[in-house]
Amino acid sequence: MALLAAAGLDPPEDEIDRLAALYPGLRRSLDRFHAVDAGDEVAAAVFRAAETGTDGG
Amino acid sequence: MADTDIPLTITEVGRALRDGSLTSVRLTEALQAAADRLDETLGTWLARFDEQALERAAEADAELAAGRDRSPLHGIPLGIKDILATDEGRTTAQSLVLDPTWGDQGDGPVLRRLREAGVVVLGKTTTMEFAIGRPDFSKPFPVPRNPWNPDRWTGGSSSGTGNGVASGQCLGGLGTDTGGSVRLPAAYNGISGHKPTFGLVPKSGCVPLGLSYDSIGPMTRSARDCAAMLDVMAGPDPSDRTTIEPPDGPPPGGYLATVDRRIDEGGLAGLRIGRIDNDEVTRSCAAATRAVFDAAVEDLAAAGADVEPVEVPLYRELSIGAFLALEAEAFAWHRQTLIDRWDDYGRPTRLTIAQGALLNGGDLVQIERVRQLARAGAVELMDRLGLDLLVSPTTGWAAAPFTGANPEAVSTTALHTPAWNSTGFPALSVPMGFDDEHLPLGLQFVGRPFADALVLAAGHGYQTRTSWHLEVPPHHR
Repeated sequence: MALLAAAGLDPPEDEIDRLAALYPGLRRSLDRFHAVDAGDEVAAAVFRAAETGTDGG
Repeated sequence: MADTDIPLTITEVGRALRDGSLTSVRLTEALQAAADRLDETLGTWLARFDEQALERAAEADAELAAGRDRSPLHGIPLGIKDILATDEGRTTAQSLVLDPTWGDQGDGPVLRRLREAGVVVLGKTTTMEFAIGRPDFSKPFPVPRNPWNPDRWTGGSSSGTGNGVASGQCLGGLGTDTGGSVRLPAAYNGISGHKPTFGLVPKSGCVPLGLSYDSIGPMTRSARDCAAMLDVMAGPDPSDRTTIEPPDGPPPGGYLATVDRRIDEGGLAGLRIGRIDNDEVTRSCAAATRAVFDAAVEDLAAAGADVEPVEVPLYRELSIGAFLALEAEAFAWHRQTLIDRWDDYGRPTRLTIAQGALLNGGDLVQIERVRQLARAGAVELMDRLGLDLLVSPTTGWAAAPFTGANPEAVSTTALHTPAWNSTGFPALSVPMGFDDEHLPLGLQFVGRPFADALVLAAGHGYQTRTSWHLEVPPHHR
């Protein structure tokens, strides 16, 4: 499976087949997130140029 | 005091230690004897520190006799999930793969705080490999079994702490929770387990699974005992940059004092509680679970709580997002070792972590953006409806058998826990009864960020009216 090879992984054939079988369902789950309008201001993570103590995450 | 007369809870044992009817040495010996009898069947321990524990117990007894009372946990024996570093010895994460030098620095901040509070560390408890995967019979580690029925799973990944508390081999312990790994074994074993607000308890000294989802949490018989542990565990530490003080400060007097004060002030009366009614919860539930949950909700209402059905916005995204994102985060941590030592990982673990390689960068970014929106939506829902808490079953089904399990019952959709890892909200599982096969079921209380004290108080209030948390399994000391 190309995605696994690109990640450097080389599992045995039966496990590649297992992950390949999971992929369509995984992809549908991921596409669900892309269907949500997250607007223009919401960032995945907040990076700060200076240490401000802790960030609640 | 005979072994069978030793109380079940930290609260009651604490009284016995202080009135002289029990010593920490006697208690520790009894729990070690229980482990001698039960561990081979239940697979609770990866390592036991018997000599060190007895030494520490003797010190605790001497201190208490001299009037030095460190905390409600003084002299209390605990089990520690073996993904947390301890001074006593190596951490394995129940894997052949973890670098043997990982954890050489010894105790992280939570362990240091617990020792300062006077606990006795009994040993390291079993876990799923790297806190993820499924029971794996192919590797040279014990497979944890459920003390209510050893043909059933304990749940995970804090499996050994879960079955250790339930079977009376320890009075409490540490687990970790990234998608449900404290609350799931708590529910399956019939004990109480608390996932603190993300950032309340420092995670340093813990093998990471999903760094932006991981929490270290207490597992005990009761919500009150969880509060006693949280008093010691909580608070920022410079070694974990995700930790912060609660915005309104710690609860006045601490978590235990707040829990007790709440009971004095009426317990559950007056609390506004949302019963989560999303399809993902109501349809992914056995009929027996729904019936027991409905009875638990009636108990809450009878205690004076105002309970109404609610739907949490973007609930499905919160739930599945936690697992997708933690797989990506876990893959980032494990990538090189997976490349070098694929076969040394257990099959369930490596196939789960490898799914993290199937997400692209844009996927993870969007999961995290939606996570931010959904967290805000959950807060807005609670604000708009004036809710103090949310409740749901912890899981849709009780513990599954190792073979022949109902696929629906062991799917991730049966877990009603991960949404609260996505939001970072505090979440507590307490026993609420049994299914038709007399297997425990869990009731989950969820609070606003940093409302851990209220969540634990609600659990304690429920437990002053019920006794599910005091039921003991067939396999018990």
